Amino acid sequence: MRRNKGWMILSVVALVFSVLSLSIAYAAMSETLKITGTANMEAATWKIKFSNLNATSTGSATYELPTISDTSLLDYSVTLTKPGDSVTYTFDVENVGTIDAILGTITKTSPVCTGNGVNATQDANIVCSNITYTLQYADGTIVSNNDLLDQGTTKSMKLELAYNSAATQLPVDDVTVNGLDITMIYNQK
Amino acid sequence: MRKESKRILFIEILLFLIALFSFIVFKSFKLITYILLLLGVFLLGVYLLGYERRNEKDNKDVILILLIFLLGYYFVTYGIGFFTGFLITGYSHRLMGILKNAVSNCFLFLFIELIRKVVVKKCKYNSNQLLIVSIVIISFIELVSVTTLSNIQNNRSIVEAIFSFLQIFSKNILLTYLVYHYSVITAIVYRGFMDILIYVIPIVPNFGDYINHIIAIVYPIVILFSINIYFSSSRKKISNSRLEVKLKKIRLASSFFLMFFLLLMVSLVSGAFRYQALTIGSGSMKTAINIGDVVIVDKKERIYKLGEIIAYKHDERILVHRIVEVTKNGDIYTYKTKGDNNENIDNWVIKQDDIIGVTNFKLKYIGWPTVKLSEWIIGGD
Repeated sequence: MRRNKGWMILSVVALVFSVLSLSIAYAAMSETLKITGTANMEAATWKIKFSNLNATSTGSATYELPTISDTSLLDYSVTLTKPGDSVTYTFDVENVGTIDAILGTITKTSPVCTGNGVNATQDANIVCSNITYTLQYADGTIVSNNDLLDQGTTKSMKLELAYNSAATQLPVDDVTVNGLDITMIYNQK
Repeated sequence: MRKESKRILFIEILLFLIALFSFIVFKSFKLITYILLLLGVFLLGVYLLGYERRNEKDNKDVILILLIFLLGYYFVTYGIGFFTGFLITGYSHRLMGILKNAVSNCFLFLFIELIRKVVVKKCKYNSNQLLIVSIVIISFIELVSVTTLSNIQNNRSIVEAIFSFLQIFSKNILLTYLVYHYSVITAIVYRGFMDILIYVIPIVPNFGDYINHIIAIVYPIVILFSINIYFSSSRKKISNSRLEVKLKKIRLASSFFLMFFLLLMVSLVSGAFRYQALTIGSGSMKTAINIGDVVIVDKKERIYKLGEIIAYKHDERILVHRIVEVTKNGDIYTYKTKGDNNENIDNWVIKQDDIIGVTNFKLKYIGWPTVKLSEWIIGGD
């Protein structure tokens, strides 16, 4: 083989063939090419809904019931005045569709505290370091990703907001707490 | 056919049979058996074809260039690895394990290179066809050290074995070139850095499978080109003929076009940059996007609008559907989609994080090979 031409041709052919075939094969292996069509889905329905909302409180805590729709619980409001106060919302999550569901994502934001008095920053820090909010099933198990909700089943959940009973400090003035959001997105199992 | 050519062919057929036998019979690869078989072939080759001791005068320069490329490879890839992350290799990280892996593979690669030298140096005076056959067979010999027939259980593993072969083949073109023009030492230097160090260094840069495969295929060819151009240009007589200048310009332009095309394809398929190519395998978006079309996805993050066609991840799949509902809840946007050709809206909510990007450009039908291959792979699972 001549020093230049033969080796160059062989290399270029091998390079182009290899890169092309590798790219085609990689795309075929990594991309999902099956897209759920109408035929498979027509007979199936998809619906997760909230129902049976109730609330209880301990200590001197007060609450307002949130607005409930099929797909969300919005605008809940609680007042916690001393350590140990808590409010617990209970509700059912029901899969009324015909497809098994899995909890794809549960997103819990961090609370944002805003003080309203002269010691606003200090008050906000005190409250935010002592407030807890948790989402559990009725039996106390923490709700987490990949939890199943099969078709036709209902799971009871409880959302608890509490002021740490061991807290030794109290804010001087009122503190507004925002950002207590929990988003659950169910996907097809 | 000359007597020497017949002997080269005999050695090549013997190598092929050993590789084929090992590929079919070995349930798991028996390295020591394989090394002993290759030692036998090497000794037979020396007996039949002789062992040439003559080295080319450019040997030291070639080794120097190789060292620059090989050290440069580690500096660049591991440097980029600080941004992309690293993966821990699957090989043993205990001292005895490292020594066992490195030493046994040293022997394997040593005998492969010695056989290459015996065969290739004789091809120099015989036939180019025999030379190309030897590259293919030695690549097959090396493939057997990576996979055997028992590992190939479905169509996906066949494709993976072909991936491995392409990388090995590309490397063997370079190694054969080095042994053919220079000496077996140059090939051993390359082997030491690229094939033995992998057992010693516990981490490798994480570029993803596709880019890793591409680097393994392209880099040996880049080294071959560089050495070839460096030494041929230093020896070439200067010619001012107009035809030769014109031909040189055409060759240069073709090379740039080819490089640009390959780079563009790799960057689009890998999705490493802003734009990513996705092949469509379903008719759910007919007639806007048909089966076999390739859509180019713009991955720039933004809030998407009603009516835009987005690519997103759902249930470990990538879907390309049109947005039919946008919901804003505070700063959080969620979307619902529907295939143009589907009757129902998709029964899931898409979060901003799931979205890969928006499609606004398509290439008709060029994804057909990918679609057909994908169907074949899925059909064989």
